[in-house]
Amino acid sequence: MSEPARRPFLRLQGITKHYGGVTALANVDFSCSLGTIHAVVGENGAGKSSLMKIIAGVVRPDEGQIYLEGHPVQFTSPAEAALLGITCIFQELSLLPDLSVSDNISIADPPKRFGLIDRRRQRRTAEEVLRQVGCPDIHPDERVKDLPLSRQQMVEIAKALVRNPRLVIMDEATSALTARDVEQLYRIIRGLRDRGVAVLYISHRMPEISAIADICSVFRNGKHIDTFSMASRTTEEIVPMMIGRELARAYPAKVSTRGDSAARINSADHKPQTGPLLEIKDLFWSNVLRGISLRLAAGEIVGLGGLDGQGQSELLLALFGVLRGLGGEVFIDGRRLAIKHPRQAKAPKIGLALIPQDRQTQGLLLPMSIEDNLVLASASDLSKYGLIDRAKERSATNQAVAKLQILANDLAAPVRTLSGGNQQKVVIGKWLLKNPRILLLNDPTRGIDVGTKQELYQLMRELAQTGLGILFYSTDYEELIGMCDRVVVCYGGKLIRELSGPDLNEHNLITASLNLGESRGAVESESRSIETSSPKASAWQNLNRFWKRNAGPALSFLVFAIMFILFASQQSNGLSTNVLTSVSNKGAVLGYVAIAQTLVILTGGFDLSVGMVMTMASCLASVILNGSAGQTTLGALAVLASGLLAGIINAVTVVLGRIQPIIATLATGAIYFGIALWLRPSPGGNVNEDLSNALTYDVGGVPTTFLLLLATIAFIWWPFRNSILGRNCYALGSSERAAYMSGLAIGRARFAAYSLAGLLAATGGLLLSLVSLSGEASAGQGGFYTLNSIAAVAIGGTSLFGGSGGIIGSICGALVLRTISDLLFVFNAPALWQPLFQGFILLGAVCLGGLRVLRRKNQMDVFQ
Amino acid sequence: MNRIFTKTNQPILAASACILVILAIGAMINPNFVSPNYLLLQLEVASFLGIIAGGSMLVILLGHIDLSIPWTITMGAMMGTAVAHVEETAGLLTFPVGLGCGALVGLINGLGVAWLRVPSMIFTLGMNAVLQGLVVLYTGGAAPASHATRLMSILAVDRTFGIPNALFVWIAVSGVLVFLLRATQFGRYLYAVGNRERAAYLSGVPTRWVIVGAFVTSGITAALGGIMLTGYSTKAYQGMGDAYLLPAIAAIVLGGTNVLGGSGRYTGTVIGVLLIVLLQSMLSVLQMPEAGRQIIYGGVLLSMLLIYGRAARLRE
Repeated sequence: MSEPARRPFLRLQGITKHYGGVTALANVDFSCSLGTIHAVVGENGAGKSSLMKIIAGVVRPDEGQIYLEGHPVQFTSPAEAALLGITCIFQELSLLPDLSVSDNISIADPPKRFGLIDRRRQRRTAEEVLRQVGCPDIHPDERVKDLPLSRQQMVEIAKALVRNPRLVIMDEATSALTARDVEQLYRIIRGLRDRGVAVLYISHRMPEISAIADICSVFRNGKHIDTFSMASRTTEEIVPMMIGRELARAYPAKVSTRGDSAARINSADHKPQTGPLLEIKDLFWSNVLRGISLRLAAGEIVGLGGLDGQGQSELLLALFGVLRGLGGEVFIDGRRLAIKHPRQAKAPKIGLALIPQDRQTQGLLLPMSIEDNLVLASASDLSKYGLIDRAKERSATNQAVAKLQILANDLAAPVRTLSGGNQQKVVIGKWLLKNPRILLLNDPTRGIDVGTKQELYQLMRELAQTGLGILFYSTDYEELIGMCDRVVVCYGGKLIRELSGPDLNEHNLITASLNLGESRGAVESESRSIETSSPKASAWQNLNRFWKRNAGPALSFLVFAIMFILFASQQSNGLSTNVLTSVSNKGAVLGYVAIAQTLVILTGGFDLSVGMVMTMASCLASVILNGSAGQTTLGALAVLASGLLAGIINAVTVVLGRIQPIIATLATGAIYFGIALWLRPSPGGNVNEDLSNALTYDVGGVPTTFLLLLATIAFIWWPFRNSILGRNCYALGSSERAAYMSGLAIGRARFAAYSLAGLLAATGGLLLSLVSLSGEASAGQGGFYTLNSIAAVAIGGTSLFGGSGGIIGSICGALVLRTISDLLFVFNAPALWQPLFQGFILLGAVCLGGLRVLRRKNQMDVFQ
Repeated sequence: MNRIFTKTNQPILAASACILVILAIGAMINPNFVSPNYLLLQLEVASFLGIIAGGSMLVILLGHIDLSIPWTITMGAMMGTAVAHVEETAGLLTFPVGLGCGALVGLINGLGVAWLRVPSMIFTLGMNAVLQGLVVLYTGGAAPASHATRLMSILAVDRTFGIPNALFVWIAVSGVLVFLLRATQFGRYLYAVGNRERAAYLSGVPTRWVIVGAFVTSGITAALGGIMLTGYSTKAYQGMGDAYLLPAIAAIVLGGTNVLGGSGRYTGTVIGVLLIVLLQSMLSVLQMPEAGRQIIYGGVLLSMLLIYGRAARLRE
């Protein structure tokens, strides 16, 4: 083994990793040094990704030891590895979609001033590092989810570099980049190397490896094959090292000529075909499929080859009716069809079946029984008038189990208890019970043991012989060559080559997949998304950005302003201070409860106890908020403290108790209401009039409660929003997974949100008691405020799924809701119309958000 | 033995144990608590909650929630009684119209949740407000006929062979629901969609219609509950449904149905209803003031959830 003559920065010794029954890495020794660009190559399944995950601290090895600069280390999380100078850029982005670019770049260690995040410095840091990666056109305030994928990937790269790492891992980091970005990336990588950073570069794209790598390591089947300097080998020498010849798997005999397939159909269910079973003409979809034409005959197994993510999955989904907005035509048996839903696809006349990519989340219902899973697709065939026929189902499932040799003791056991291979058999069995005519296989043997693979190969050939047409996507080249009558290679959403007969060999397949032999510029610029960089600080773009972020609150404020003007115009005395104050007082009470709800909704939860906390606070106030000035002050503090305590109790049940927020707060709400009733069994009480007068009138014409709200925004909300805790709340709501991967303290953020919510709800209660000068423990009132707080948040434009929004919108929403009744009264509309109007406004507000969903192009994304 | 202590059954056993504890405590305070007469009375009261909770369980099995129950109850009752007093129809329209209203509400809820993908909590919340508005508008000036019909009284108040008719109605509704859940395709699809909608969708299940079906059922049982309650209190009145939302959800959750959907047995809901009713009953026998009752109510719910309602850690 030829090795570089430097002292290794990172050394792995004897690393082994198993996933279930599959060995991803077997006794791997590996090292890399500072100041080198070290490429890692190998086919799919060679172990590259597993190795990188171990180095980056995402997973722990089962055996072996990692040495960093000679010292043994063990990472328990990516954050820990990052502290030691190892950062990783994965293919799946770890960005928080609703947060800005600068927030994401500095997520791990933001610059601070007086304990709060210094946004100005953060923005400068982002601008600086974005300039370094050659993307000055990305605006730091832009929300990540508004950027195209290639820009997001550059932000991910920037985020990794800002921490001045000593080892950077790039795992397929160029998959979404434009050609221009890739050139820029080369410059960055070379710059890193020159500064003494170690770069581990994983890619399938041999041209890239040739262009920048100093050293290359080849992996195959979980083993480290060789490491050498790039200068010493050519691409033609490297490719065979990736393939290797291991225990040759036995593949069933293939079809010698295609023309016989029509004659070979002997099953009674299938009519002899003269034309192709399936024909696709010029299929287009969303810049991912760019004109695919394909034919599949009955009895044929056609393979989809090529690198991961070139459109193969999407092609199968498109055929199955999952994608919307397809261009081009699909013919089955010569009839042109537009398939809109999997239900239509599986119907007997069409007969499509899809074995999906991820069996655990797409193919199976893990907690349900094996039997239930097997009959899921053919339930209507096995039932009569919608009633389950157990006998029929049992015989069908036994049939499937026998045919596929599914190893299961008890068919009533949850399918989760089966091994990976058997689980996949259940997925296949489910579809075979439907007697399909065309089988779409999306990488069916991924993560499955060798024995089961053999069985599946045999099954596929048998099915083909009975007349099924099979479209087979696999990331395993050997499989494609062994199983398929012919293979079409995908690249950039197009089919660039077809291989069959003697042409169907490893060398041709890999060469075609990597698109070698084509000038990079020609195909690359076509296959990448075309983007033009526009000047950064255009006024229109700034406005656009502001609007995207603030559309919700702006609209709700507009609605409120209109309503208020209408209302004021009907006042005979004009816009008197009394009118303003009355509107403000009523709105402020709901406003504080809405603020409380906003905090919780930002983190992705709901708090159904806010109304009860408010009621409890107002009842407490009606008991103790009297007496001397000193007593009254203490009383006010006690009321606020009680709210904080209630919030903390909520936080404990949700964060530490891990109880679902809706139910948890429903339960705690009952407790708080009970306390309110105990404090104030019947309406009444006594509230210090001086305090009431001070807070419920006005100061120089401006209602005091309005000033209170402004003060809350300035002195409580603004610091919170710019604190790390507040930012973590947004992160948590945006993507809990990414937040966790970034090492953020999400438990603490959630705890803070619920606790503060309690405090703010109590503020609303305090105000209520001051406005009404009494307290009342009414369940109706509590429920009213809870539900209307959620309505206010929705109207104000905060996303109900969390991650974006703020309290300004919620306050506007509260004002809108409270002004409706006044407005109707003033226009002599019967008071009876008020609840209806309110309901319609709420429904309208939330449905507007829903309409966006109707335009989604991949229907599968809509579902959880 | 392991079969009995499965994850789905544990809550049912825990809830049953709680019921026994409550009966024991109640009996100690007042032996009449466990007298057949009193227990039958409890079953009668439980019937109304049971009917309402039964349909809602289907919605929760999907991982959704129906917050429009309160005013669906009221609307079903009011519409039902309104048509009852039209001479020509001799009160026969009560049930079709009342239940039809409930079904319509459920249909709209289902469409909003399944097609527009609005979170069910919010959409049904809005529907609840709209229904309240409609009922307020309808009853506003005049006081339309809202007395219970003879049929309603018979079903809600009378007894046959000493057993409350309401209980028979509950049993009948339960029978239908259990049948739906266990013997029909729809029931299986319900669990599938609640478990993982994406996998059900990719298996060709008509997931949207399943969601609509669940909400329609919830609306129908809510309306039926409203009609029965009218019979019991001889009059339909505004806000009659408000007191039933929380107990219904609590009963379903206490019975072991997972709030996130996908698992739960109807038996659990029945036990949960009985637990709630007995708990409330015992608290009134203890002559505990309403305040204490609420606190204990919430506390019991919380304790049960802490025992078996906890979610998995993110790391797993």
